[in-house]
Amino acid sequence: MHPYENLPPEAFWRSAIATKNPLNITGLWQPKFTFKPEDNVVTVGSCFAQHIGKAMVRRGYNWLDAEPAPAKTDPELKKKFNYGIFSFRTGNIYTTELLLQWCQWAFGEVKVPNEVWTNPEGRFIDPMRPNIEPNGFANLDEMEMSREATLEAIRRGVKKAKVFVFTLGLTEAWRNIEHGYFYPMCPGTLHGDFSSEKHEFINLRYPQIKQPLMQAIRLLRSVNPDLKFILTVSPVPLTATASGKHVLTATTHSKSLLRAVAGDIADEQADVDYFPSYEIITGFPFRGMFFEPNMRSVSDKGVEFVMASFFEALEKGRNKRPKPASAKKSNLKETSFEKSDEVVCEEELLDAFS
Amino acid sequence: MRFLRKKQKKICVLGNSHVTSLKRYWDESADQHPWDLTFFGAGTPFLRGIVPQKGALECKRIEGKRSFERTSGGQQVIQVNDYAHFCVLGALSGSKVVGLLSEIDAAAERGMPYSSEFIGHLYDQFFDKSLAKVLLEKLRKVTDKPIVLSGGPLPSERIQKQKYVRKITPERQDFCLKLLQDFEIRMENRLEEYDAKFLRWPSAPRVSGLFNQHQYMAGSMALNGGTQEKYPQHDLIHGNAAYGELLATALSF
Repeated sequence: MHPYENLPPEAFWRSAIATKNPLNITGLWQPKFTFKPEDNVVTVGSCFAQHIGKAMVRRGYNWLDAEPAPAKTDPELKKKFNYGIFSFRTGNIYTTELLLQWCQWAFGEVKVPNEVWTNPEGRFIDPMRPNIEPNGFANLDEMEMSREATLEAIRRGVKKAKVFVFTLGLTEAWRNIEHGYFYPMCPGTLHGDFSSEKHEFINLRYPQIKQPLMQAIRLLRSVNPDLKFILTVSPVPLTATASGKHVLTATTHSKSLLRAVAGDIADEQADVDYFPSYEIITGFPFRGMFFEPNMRSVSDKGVEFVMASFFEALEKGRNKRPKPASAKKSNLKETSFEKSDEVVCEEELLDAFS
Repeated sequence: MRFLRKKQKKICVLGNSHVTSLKRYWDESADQHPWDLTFFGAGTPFLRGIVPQKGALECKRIEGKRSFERTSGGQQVIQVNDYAHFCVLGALSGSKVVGLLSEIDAAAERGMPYSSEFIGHLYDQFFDKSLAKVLLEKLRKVTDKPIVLSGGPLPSERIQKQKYVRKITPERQDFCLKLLQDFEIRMENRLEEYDAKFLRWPSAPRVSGLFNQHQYMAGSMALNGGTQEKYPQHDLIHGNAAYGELLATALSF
């Protein structure tokens, strides 16, 4: 007898992959824990995280919109002003450093920087959420109140949540040299002005990815000890790299590190799980079929397949079907999504410079 | 501001159930005024289907036509050349406006205020989805005569006693009143697109900023296929003849 004799079919390439139609590949995820449709779920992270929240709503799960727009706001208007995209109006949180930063600001560990930008029309831009309002804010007070609103939403949302889903997106980041805080986008690309004296590029390495994420998890757990985490890695390649390497090799390096961190933390922490959306979209057994012709955007079919795998595994783990959408709790804010709803992706805006 | 001059005698009043407050006042006091009001009232669903014809407006649905016939005293169709002025009543719901403002206030109260730009877009969206926009567009297809638009009344102060209604506390009144004023300014701007005037909600009956004293709502009559019947909850969002008199004064009838 040896250990390989009693392994299930999913442990072997031949039975799990080689002899299967890709669309019949199953069992990629055995959840460490399950949750019920009525449990509050928070989603934050990179562009791909938006699909998770939308899919949860469609499936009748209690996706937490902690900073909702008025109930009858048109979906297009909500999207324009970044309501209902993530659980909080942070914009994309691409790196673990940014996640930690938001958590530290929200829970008072670190003071929010007082940097502010203006656009050519004199409107005020939040450097930490440069795309959150299409035309910026009317004045500084309004900008600061809006950011404080998001921090309040984080405080409340984390306390109410049962599950916190974070999608890791990038390792490449831009940092303020003097004060050390991170920007979501390189200053000067969307708004603001770039200065090599004020801003530096950093391509986060494994410890620099893992440590902030662990710190964020500990901080969030200190607020909500029952909170569980699901980590995913965005399968979406980099729009652009400042690393000096080819964007394909930079992407592979980045995603490999993120995948390693996510996997290691999930292995080390009982209340942290990893869901393999990355493998489903990018894994070569799927032959790239879930990408659009630009080989970057994930197709609707891809999102559908990923989320079907997610819910199938979850519900199998719970051993029962979810209740229909009408059973949603009242704290689920009305959010309607079109099937082919495009995601809000600030990083994609870098394409304008290609 | 007086929109209508005494020399302009024939006025077409077009609207939904909210025409009844002015109609009730008018029915009691028409002899005292030199103006000639003709009321074309129908339920909102019928008014949304109103069709511009050559020199006329008519409801597509027979229920709408009959409602026009009853409220006007015999006419199913509005012949626009018969009138010197048009008054659109109730096509912008005062109670729904207050509902929206209350949501905006609630967000601010819980520490998550919306930006001024977003609020402006919410106001635009409110107008763009309203019956008011539909009627203005249809009217302007058949006439270029003066149009004044007055929204449905703000809700009764008693609506705050309903379980489903959020209570606006005294501390929030100033903020809510500012929201309402900004909404009115936005509507004035939007109506300029149709060369029409927006009549702000009368301040005389106001209490707590966003609500009307119940004495201006009590005993309101329903527009029910043109007939007038009383419903207990009707008073929460419909004005009575006293409110109608305020409207007439503001419109200079």
